[in-house]
Amino acid sequence: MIGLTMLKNFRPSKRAVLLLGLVVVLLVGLVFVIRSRIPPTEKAAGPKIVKIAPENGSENVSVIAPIEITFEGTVSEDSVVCTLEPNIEVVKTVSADSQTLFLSPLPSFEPGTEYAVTITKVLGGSQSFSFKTSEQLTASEKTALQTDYDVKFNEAADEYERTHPLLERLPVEENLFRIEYKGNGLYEYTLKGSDRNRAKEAMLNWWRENGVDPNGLNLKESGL
Amino acid sequence: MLAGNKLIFLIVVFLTVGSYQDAGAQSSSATVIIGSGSSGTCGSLVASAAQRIVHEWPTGTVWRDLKVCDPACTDRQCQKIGICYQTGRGSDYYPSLNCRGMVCTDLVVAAYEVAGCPLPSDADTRWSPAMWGAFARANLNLARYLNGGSTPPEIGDVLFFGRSRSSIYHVSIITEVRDNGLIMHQANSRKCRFVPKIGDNLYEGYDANHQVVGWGRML
Repeated sequence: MIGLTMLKNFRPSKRAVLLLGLVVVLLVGLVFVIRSRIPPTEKAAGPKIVKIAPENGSENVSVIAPIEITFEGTVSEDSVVCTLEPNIEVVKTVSADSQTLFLSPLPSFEPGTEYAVTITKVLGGSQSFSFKTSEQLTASEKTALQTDYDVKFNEAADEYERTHPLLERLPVEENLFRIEYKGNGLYEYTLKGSDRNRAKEAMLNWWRENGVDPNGLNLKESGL
Repeated sequence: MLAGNKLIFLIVVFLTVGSYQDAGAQSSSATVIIGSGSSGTCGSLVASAAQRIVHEWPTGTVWRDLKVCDPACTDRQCQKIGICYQTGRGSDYYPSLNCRGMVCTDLVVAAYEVAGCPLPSDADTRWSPAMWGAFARANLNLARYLNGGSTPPEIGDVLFFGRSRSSIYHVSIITEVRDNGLIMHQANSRKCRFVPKIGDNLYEGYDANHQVVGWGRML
């Protein structure tokens, strides 16, 4: 009543703005009340986590054992965001029945380290736990890690060979040029004779004739 | 063939006078050259054995309780590399794949064993950091030398890769020493790999985690 009396004291234009503001506030409040009264559905919050391994507070956990999160429903790799402290890269994979998410450390957890893990479901809800890894690696853990190292070595060597072509053929000495590998991707060349343009073209052609585009290489003339 | 090589080796041993010392960081070392550029007493035999294992051992060959990649193993990495591996976690974690394979250190151990020069038990390991450690240990008849130091690599040496001396990740066998680099054989692949030389006794690795850290030698 008092409010209405006060409202009448405002000019019509201000009165309209005030009424509009009141309506907005009421609507927001209404939405908030309705949302808080409706229980979150499984879909809205995502599948419920029913088991986490290692359990909270576990000790002597294997440095290579993946974290396993089992859900009540099915999940994908993108269903959760995982943060670890200290930070470490993990790879997510899902079990065949899509109910368990594995978080495998790359390449392993540090021995004798306590990790704090927070699992946040993309659709809402999170869970935190911690565990401590064992101080020493077992023989089978070492073998598993060595396998990982070997696979990574091969990948690095393949990439190096792709980006550092013809190293076995160098140094090469021709009438018009010499090419030498100096390390860190640098190929150094020396041009011979008075016709430098011809010598440089011959040097570039040597790469092309061996199936390599010289434009993709770090080629530098010696002494420059 | 093997007996002949052993005979030559025995004769050379009697004729050879010299001493090795652990090279440590850039320290100098007396280098004994035995035969034609082979390392230590077994270098050429070890290199030859490594080449045979990598190129000639057929699929399914069993050494100790390990075997060369089985075609039944359909794992991605098994298809990619010659000696059987599992992706990610190693054979002990994937028993259902029936594919317990060699790791890099296994090839080194096998090559020395096949050559008739078995490594001491401390170096007979499936963990490359442990093998690196063993090659520096006194009284094991082993020595190790750092990349870029005063002692050049020789065939049959164990080549160590890693981020640093305290982070060793991989080993292989040097099977050829050329003016411009090394040829090595490893358990990862049926093909040999080239390691370029970029300075005096200095070799370039493949990336930050796979630098050439050094080489180990049986004395």
